[in-house]
Amino acid sequence: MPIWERISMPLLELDGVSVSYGKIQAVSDISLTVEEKEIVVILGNNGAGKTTTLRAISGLNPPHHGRILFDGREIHHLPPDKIVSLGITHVPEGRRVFRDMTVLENLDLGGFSRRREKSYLKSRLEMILDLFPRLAERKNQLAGTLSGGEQQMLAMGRAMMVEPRLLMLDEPSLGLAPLFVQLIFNILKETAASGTTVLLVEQNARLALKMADKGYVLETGSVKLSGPAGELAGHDEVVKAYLGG
Amino acid sequence: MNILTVENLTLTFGGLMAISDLSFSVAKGQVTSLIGPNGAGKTCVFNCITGFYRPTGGRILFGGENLVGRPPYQITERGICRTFQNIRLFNALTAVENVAAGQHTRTGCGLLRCLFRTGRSRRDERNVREKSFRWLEFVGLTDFYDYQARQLPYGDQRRLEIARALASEPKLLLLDEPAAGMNHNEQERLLALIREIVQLGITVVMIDHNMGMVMQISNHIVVLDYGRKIAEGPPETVRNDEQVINAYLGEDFDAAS
Amino acid sequence: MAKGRHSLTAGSVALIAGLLVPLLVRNPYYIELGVQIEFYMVLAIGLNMVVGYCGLLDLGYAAFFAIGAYTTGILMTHLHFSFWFCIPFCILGAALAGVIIGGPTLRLRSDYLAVVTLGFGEIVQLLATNLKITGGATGIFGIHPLRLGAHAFSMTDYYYMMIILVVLGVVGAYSLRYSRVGRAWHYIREDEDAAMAMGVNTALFKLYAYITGAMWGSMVGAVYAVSMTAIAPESFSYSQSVLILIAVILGGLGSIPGVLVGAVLVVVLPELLRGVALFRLLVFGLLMVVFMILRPQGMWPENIRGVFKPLVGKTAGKKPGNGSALSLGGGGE
Repeated sequence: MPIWERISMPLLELDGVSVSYGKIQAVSDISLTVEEKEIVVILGNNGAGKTTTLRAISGLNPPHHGRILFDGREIHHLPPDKIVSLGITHVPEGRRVFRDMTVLENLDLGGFSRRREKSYLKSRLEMILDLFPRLAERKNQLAGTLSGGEQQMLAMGRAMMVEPRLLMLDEPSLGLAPLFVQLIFNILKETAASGTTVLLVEQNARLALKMADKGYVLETGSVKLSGPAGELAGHDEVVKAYLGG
Repeated sequence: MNILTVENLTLTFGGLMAISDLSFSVAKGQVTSLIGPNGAGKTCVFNCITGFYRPTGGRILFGGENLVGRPPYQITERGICRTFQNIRLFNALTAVENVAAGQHTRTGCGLLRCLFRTGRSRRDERNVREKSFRWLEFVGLTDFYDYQARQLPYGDQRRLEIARALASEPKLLLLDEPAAGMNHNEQERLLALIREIVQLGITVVMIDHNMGMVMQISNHIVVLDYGRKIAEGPPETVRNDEQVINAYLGEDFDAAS
Repeated sequence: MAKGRHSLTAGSVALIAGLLVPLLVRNPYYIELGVQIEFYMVLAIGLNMVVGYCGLLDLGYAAFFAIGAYTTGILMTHLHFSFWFCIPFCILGAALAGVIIGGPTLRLRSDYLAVVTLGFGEIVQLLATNLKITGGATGIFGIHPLRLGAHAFSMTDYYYMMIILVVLGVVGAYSLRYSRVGRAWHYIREDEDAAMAMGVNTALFKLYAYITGAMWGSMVGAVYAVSMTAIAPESFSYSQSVLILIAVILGGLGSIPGVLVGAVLVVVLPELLRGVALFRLLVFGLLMVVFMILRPQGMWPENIRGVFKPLVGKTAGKKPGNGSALSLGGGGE
């Protein structure tokens, strides 16, 4: 394809994507785009298909219909490990850390795909321990003995060990203290500013829309509303359902 | 009147002090919330009250009796039941059978009675079934009684866990982050449910990070940081407490977010 | 439940067919095969309570089978007890062994239990091989067959006797499944911490499951001893325990029709494979791998929906999340 088209191309594009589990259609005909360095948030009720959408992108629930393009390349038929190696990292909901490993070992694993670049990983590790001082305090503790919120931080830190091109987060604020939610969101903002694109699913709509560039609202598996975050935050339906106007 | 009194509770893991010298009490018929930064030891307090952890020191008084050292099943028998931070349902079983678990301590048939289906065992079964459906209805899940717990959406799973705990006919209900992962709408419905539970005369102790909800529903708030109590009082006092703002709420705290 | 009625019909048909077999089939080989299937059926029902209901991995179930068989063999040959008088001793012996083994180990996690039961199975077999009273490697022979008046039991009589045992086992297992005890076992299997939080004394109920299985297995062992009139240690080896476990897993953990089907498979398949002589066990192993890949949940998985029927007028059919007044979310994420 010609170079000028490449430039204007979004980093991630979903084109009419449908996913079903057995007979139940979880996501139907979703289209969305994420531009480079953007923060995009997906809102919606539980069961609206937000998690499924992320899982479709990372190859865990491949779509049975539609196309997913990353950097102009079709990825919807690729297995999850190939998708990761393209630079897409997915932090699933629910604190999936390796419980019987220490905090440091968990973080090391996050750098697995660039394990030969020792000095790079060392600087990333330092950066992440700076971002999450709580993890630094407990770096030699087993991950299973961390509190719920600390495990959430660890899962995020692990995902950020190699700078992914696209960081997908499923409810990063789940179970975190208010002060910490603000901190996490600030970290995400910095991450985006430094070149990583962020796509997140979030229930804390108020904060998410304040930070994001763009938002999508899903309802029973399809996109109901979309637009710049500022506009969505003022939209009547969004205010009523997600912000509590 | 206090239904639960925690006195000088201390819990250490190896050298790590998870809870240190914590005292607070829970007034009967009210909602008390336990808040604090992640890792402050809130869930540890629940684990001590329900007998999952054995505290290193201190007393937990419930109905005039010290619960420390009692196994979890005896504590449930005495009328304390809990939900878990990361939902722990019996995933492969149906919703209604999950709820029936709550009735375990309220029925007493042993191996032989069950094997030979004696009159008492059959009477118990009818009762358990009836009560389980009633609690399922109370949380609005009647229609999904025969769905496997894992098939239910996240929010419904949280409700099912509450129904299961209620089925144990507790006097004191401990909810560990019931609103986690819920959007505003869903939180509103949860709030209504908790109010209904309080109306039944059940005392509620809740851990949650959703300050909008905590401030709205709590009568009393206890704030922990690094295993110690840093403040307690009614919501208005706690939200303006400087230490709480520094350690937990943050400068630009806004209860609605 | 429609499904429950299906298995009832299937069960009755199978039972009638089972009752007719000796009248239609004259070849003693088939009768003997039938008896063998029945033994695996009852053993699988017993092990299913431990592994399928309660989730305790027991790799030495044949040990209880052995305790029953040897208790009966010794009491009948040395002390000339009548068979029926042996039964309480078998049950008592198994319960005692169950408490001794289960008491301390059931507090451990399930994987440790597997190792302990494995060791227990080996110990029992080694004792049987090396003790004088058990007849060493040759075992015990000359156990008097059962008698009804002057009539000594034939293989066909044992066949019918075992059918009664299968029916008793099925009824007992169903009664337990849909009771307070059976539910507690399932809660433990699904999530032990949550079960504890709901007030289940998990240590006690795990012991219940283990001992119920032990007593039942021992009783079956007693019948085995009289029907075979001779017993030897190799009938109670590790591979015997594994075969019973395979019947349970192949059929469907926790499912009663499932484990019955599984019992038929573990007996019939190797017989059918006699044609491939040397490679018999190899092919049998391969077939099992294929079965597990195609149907990991077993041939006839547990029907969990039949436990509680709704009260009058309540019907299912809606998708979760939609509609219920207090429901918290939409469907199927």
